[in-house]
Amino acid sequence: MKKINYGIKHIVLSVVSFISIFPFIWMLISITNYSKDITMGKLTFGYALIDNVTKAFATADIGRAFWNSTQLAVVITITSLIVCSLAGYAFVIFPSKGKNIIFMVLIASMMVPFAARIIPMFRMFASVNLLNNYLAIILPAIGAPFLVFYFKQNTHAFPVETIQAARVDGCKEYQIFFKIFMPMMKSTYASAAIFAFMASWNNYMWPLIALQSNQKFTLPLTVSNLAAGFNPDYGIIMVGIVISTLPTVLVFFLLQRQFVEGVIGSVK
Amino acid sequence: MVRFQLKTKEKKILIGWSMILLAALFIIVFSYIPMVQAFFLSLKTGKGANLTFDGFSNYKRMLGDATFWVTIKNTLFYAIVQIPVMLFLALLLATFLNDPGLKGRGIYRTCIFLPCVTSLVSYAILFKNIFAVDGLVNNLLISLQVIDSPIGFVTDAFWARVIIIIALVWRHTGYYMIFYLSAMQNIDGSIYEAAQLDGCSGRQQFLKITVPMLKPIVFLTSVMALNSTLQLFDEVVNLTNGGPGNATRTISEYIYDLSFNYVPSYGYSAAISYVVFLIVVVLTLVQKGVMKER
Amino acid sequence: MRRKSWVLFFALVLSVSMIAGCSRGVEGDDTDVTGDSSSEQDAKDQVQNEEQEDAVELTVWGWDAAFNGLAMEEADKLYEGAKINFVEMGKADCLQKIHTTLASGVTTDLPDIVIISDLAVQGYLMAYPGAFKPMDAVIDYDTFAKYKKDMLSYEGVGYGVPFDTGVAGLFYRTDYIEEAGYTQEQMQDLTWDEYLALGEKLAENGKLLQTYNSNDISEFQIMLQSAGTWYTDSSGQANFSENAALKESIDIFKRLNDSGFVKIASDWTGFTGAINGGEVACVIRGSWISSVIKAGEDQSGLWKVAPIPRLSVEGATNKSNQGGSSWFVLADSKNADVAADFLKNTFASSNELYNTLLTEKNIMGTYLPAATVEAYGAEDPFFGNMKVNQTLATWLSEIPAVDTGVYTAEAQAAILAVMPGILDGDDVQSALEAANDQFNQMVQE
Repeated sequence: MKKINYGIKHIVLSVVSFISIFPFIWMLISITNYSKDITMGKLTFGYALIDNVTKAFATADIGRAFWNSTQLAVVITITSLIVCSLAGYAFVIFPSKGKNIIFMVLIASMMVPFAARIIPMFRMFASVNLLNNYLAIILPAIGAPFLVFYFKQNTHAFPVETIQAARVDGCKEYQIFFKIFMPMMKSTYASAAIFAFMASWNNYMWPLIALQSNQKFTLPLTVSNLAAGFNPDYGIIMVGIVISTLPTVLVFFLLQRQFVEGVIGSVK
Repeated sequence: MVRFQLKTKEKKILIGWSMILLAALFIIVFSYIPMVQAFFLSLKTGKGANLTFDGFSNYKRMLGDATFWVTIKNTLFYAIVQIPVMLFLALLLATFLNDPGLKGRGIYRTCIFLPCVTSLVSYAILFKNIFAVDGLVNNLLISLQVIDSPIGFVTDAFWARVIIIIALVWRHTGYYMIFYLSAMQNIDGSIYEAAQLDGCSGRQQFLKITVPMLKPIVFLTSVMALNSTLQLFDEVVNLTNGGPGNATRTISEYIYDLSFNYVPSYGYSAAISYVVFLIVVVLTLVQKGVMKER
Repeated sequence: MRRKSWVLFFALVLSVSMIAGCSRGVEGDDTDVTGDSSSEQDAKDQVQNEEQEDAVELTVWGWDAAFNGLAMEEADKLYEGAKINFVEMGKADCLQKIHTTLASGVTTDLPDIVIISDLAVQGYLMAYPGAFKPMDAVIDYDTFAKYKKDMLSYEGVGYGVPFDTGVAGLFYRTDYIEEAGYTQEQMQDLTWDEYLALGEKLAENGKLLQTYNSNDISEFQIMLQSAGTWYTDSSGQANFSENAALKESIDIFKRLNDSGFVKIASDWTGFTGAINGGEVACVIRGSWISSVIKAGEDQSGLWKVAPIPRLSVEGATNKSNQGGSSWFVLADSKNADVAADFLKNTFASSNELYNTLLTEKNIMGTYLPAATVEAYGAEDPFFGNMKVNQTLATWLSEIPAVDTGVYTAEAQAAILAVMPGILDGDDVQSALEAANDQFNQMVQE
C-alpha cells in the first residue's frame, strides 16, 4: 500500500515536473542555436553557443545590467525583509484595534493597479531630483505589503509561550525579535527572501520609467531591448534570458535547504 | 507596583507601534500618496495633458463602455477558473513534497518552481509555438485522432482563454506551492507524533492538523492570487494580445491601452484602476468572510 | 548570528557604494562607463574641446540600436558641437516612457531628441501641446516626401524631422511564382483579385501565398493608404461604414482567412519563421521588411520587389506606406536649440548621411534630394541584381498623402474587436456600425 502510494506520488510529480521544466530545457537548447533555427522550431542542440554569447555581450551591456540588478535585488531583499518581518510580527504579537485598521489599509494598497501610480510617483521623485537614481527604485520597494502580510500570517503559527518565557527571563522586545523569532522562523525568511528577490529582479515597469540612462538599466530592461528590434536575433535573446533566469534559480537552490529543516515527522 | 505595571504596558504599546512604523511609513509615502493623487486624476477628463476637472464623469463613462465590461467579464472568468485549480494543485504538490520518505524531493521542488523564474518572453514564444496551428499539441491530437483538423488555439475565443489559464497555472503553481511547503515546515513535528500516538491516521492528521494550521496561509495565497489575477497583464499581452478581438483582454490591458496605446486618457484609466481596486477589496472581504465561517 | 552580520555588512557596503555611485550619476558624469569606450570618448571630447568651447551632449531616446541608434551615430560623425547619447529601449517601452515624462509635466531630465513612429505622432502632438519644438523655421519640409509632412503637422505647424520610410512593396519569390506559371512582368501592378488568383495557383504546387494572422489588421494600413483614404476622416470621426476601401480590405482579409493558401502565423516569430523557412511566396509590408527577408541567406537571388496590389475602388493606386518614424525635439529640454540645429544639418540636409545609411543598413529616408546618391543606383544581388533602392525611391514620391489623424490606434482596435464576428459570417455593414460606436466610446474626452 505504501509503495503504491509512493508510486502514484512519483508519477504525478514526474509528470508535473516534466511539464514545468520543458520550456526551461527548450531555452537551454535554443541558446545553442542560431536565430533562424529557433524561429523554425528546432529542438536539438546546435553549435552557436559561443557565437550567441559573444554577440550578446557585444550588443548590449549585459554584464553591467546584471550587476545593477544584483545590487538592487540584494539591497531590497535584505532591507524589505527586516522592515516587513518586524511589522508582520508586531501585528500579531501586539494586537490592537488600531493596528488592525492600519493593517487593512496597508494591504489595500497592494490592490491598486500599479499603472495608476506611475505618473504621481514619477512626479514625486522628479521633484526631489531622484530620477535615474537607484534610491527611486529601492525606497518604494522596502515597504512591500505582500511581505508584511506573509510574515503576519506565518507569525500566527509562532508559539506565543516562547515569547512569554523570554519576557519573564528579562529579554527586551527587540531582543526577542532578533534573537528568538528570526532564528526560529528560518523557513519563512528563506521563502520570503526568494519572493522578495524575485519581485525585485523581475521588476520592470517602474525601473523603466525611473531610469534614464542605459548604464543604469536593470537586466530585464536590457534583455527586453534585445527582443524589441524588429529583426531580433533570438539566439542573443536566449542568452540574455538564460542569464537573467539563473540568479533566481541560484537563490532558490541555496535557500532550498531551509525548507528541509523542521522535519514533520512520520505522517503515515 | 501599579505604576511599574503601567509603565511596562505603555512601553509595550510603544514598542509594538515602533515596529510597524518603518513599514507603514514607506508604504504610505510611496503607495498611498500616489494612490490619492491618482484618485484626483480620475476626476479629470481630457486627452493627454489637457486635463480638466469633471467630477465623476469618468466613472459614468465606464457604465456605457462595452470594452470595459468585456474586460471585466474576462478577468473575472480567469479568476474564478484559474485560482481554485492552481491553489488546489499547489496544495496537493506541497503535501506530496512534505513527506521526508519521498526520494528526490529537492529535484521535484526545483523543477516545479522553475516556471516561476522562466522568463515570460521565452515561454511565451514556446507556448505560442506549441499551440500553433502546426504545433506540437495539434499534431499530437491529430495523430491520436482526437480531432480531424487543427484547432486554432490562439485564434479561437474559447481556446485562447483556455491557453491563458493553462499558462497561468503552469507558471504560478510552483510559487504558491512554496508558500504551503514553507508553512507546513513550520508546523511542529511533535504535534504529529502525538497524534500518531493517539491513533490518528495519516488522512486524519492531514485534515485535522495540517489544514487548520494552514488556514492563515491559504487565506494569504488566495488573496494574493486574486489580486494578481484580477490585475493580469503580462501573460495576456504576450500570448494572445487580448485577442481574438477582445476575447481574452483583461482590465489591466485596457488600462494600459488607454494610457499608452491610444491617445492617453489618464483620468479615465485612473478611474478604471480605482474600480479594479474596489472589486479586489470587495472580493477580498468576501473571502475573509468565507474563511471565518469555515 | 555571525552569518547574519556578514550579510548585513555586505548589504551596507553595497548600498553605500550604490548611493555613492548614484550621486555621481546625478551630477551628469559618466565616470563609471566600461574602460575602453570612456577613454575613447574622453579623447574624442578632448579633440572636440580643442576645436569648440563646449561639445553639448544630446540625449536621444529611441529603440533598435542597430537601426535608429546607428543612424544617430552616423549623423553624429557629421556634426561638430554635439555628442549623441543614444538611450536604447524597447519600442513600446520608449513610447510609454515619453508619455509618462510628458504627462507628468516634469521639465528636468528631459531627453533632447526622441524618435516617434509616424502613426503615433499626431496623438502625441495633440496630447501634449507645447511639448515639442516647432520646426517650420528650422527645416524645409518641402524637401521631404509629401506624405511625411502631413503626418508630422498638427494644426498647420510642422514639428518633427522625417526619418525613415515604410514605402510598401510586394516582395516575392521568383522561383515559386515561376513554378506557378507566372512571369515577373505579370507581377507588376496587380489588382488584389489577381493577387489572390496567384494564391490559388501556388497552392496547386504546394506553396503558400503569404502569412496570415486573423488578429492583426495592420495590412489594412497599406490598403487604405494606397487608395488615398484612412480609418478616420479629416475631422477625426470614424470613416468605417461608408468607406468602400475599408470594406474591400475586409473582404480581401476574409478571403485570405477562408482560403487554403495562407500560412497562419499568430506572432512575429511565426511570421519571420515562415519567410526564412521558405514557406511563403510573398510578403506585403513596408520596405523595412527586407532586412527580415535577407536574414534567410540561403534564399539570396530568389527575391524581387513589385508594386503592391491595388484595390478596385476609385482612386486606388499601387503605392502605399507602412510604418516609418521621425525625430522630434522636446521644446523644454536643456539643449533644444542645439538639437534642432543638429537635426537640420544632418537628417534635413546631408545627402552623405542618407547614402551611408542606405549602403550600411538599408535605411531609406524620405529626403528627396538624397535620391540621387549612388547608393540608390546599387544593384542588390539578394534581389536578383535589381536596383531595389531606386525602385522604392520612385514609389516613395508617389505615395498618396493621407491625414492619418490622431485616432489610428483606437480605430484599429474598434475594427479588430468586430473582426472575429465578421470572419464568422456577421454582416459587414452592421459590424462596422458597431465598431463605429465603439470608436466613439474610446475617443471621447
